[in-house]
Amino acid sequence: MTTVAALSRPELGKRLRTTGIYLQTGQFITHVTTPFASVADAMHLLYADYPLLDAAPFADFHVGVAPPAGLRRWLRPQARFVYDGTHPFLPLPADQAFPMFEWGLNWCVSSRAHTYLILHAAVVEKHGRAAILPAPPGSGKSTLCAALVSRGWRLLSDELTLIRPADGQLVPLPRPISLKNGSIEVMRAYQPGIVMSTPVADTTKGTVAHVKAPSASVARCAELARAAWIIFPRYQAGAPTVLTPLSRGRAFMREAENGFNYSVMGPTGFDALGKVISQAESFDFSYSVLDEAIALFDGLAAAAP
Amino acid sequence: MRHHRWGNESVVYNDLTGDTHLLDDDTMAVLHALRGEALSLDSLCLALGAAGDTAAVAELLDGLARLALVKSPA
Repeated sequence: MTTVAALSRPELGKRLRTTGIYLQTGQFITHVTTPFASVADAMHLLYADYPLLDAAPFADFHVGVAPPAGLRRWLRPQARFVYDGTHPFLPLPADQAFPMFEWGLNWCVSSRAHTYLILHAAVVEKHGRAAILPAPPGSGKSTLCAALVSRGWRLLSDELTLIRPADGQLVPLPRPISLKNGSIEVMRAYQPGIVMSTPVADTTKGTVAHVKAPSASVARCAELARAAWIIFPRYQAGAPTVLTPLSRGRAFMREAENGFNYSVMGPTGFDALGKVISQAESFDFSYSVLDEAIALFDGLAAAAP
Repeated sequence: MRHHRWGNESVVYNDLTGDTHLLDDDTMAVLHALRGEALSLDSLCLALGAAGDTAAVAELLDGLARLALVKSPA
């Protein structure tokens, strides 16, 4: 199997500028084109382990990050996301080209892949049992996810929980973990040597950087997992590490609110979420110290039957 | 009626609106009683074994009607 790592940085850049590449992430094949060197740099760094298909008979998504036509190309250059020849979003400053690619790819999956019930939640797994971490922005979800992954938990996703309706199994989509603002330095300190893209300032989310998914997680992207815990994390400075049981009914309603396509899926989504909620224990979780949070998660995994 | 029950709580999917609701056991009992047939308030209270709680049952009915899970006969 050829991976992106087989291409040198100049070769990857040339391919992205010309024919594009067929990139496999989890269950999805994406055809990517872009002339932006910053996107090629970040892809070379963060997507080295991902399968690269020479020519795919089919791609789930055809995407690009391209400069707008006209003078904008030179005056305050911008980048815009291209999906199947359309431009679903307003352009952004050119230095945000790679975050835009990541956000655009998330949008492709969350708005198109209705084979799965898709929740806005991270998923990590240990010993065959997965923890779903649904949370709104600012809850510390991605920081906690990155920390767990740095301590041996398998990354299924930082952002998109894919649930197979037939059996409620979780389908991995390991991609770079998006960190924002203070979390970037927190993770640099927590995991020396962490592989991370160059931080990009002044985005709508503040300063953002993406962390490389562990090679082992990428290699196991076909290995589904069963939900054992649904944990709603909340980072709060100075807060003690507390895990509070949550009723399944209330967890269901909060998960449904976090669903990208719960309404679109209708009764199929209702049934799929019901399977996951029935399989898992649900909790609210507040924390401020990452080591304590990891210890608690490891304890859950160790106690699991 | 699609629903899941855990403990004394149930989630119900409303086919008409596409909404999902979290209901307690008392409210679910009203919903189940009305599944097969339309009932008057008095008959519903009898079916629920709540003959002395007409006001409480009426309140549950109003709540279910607001969620479009039951409707009054025209």
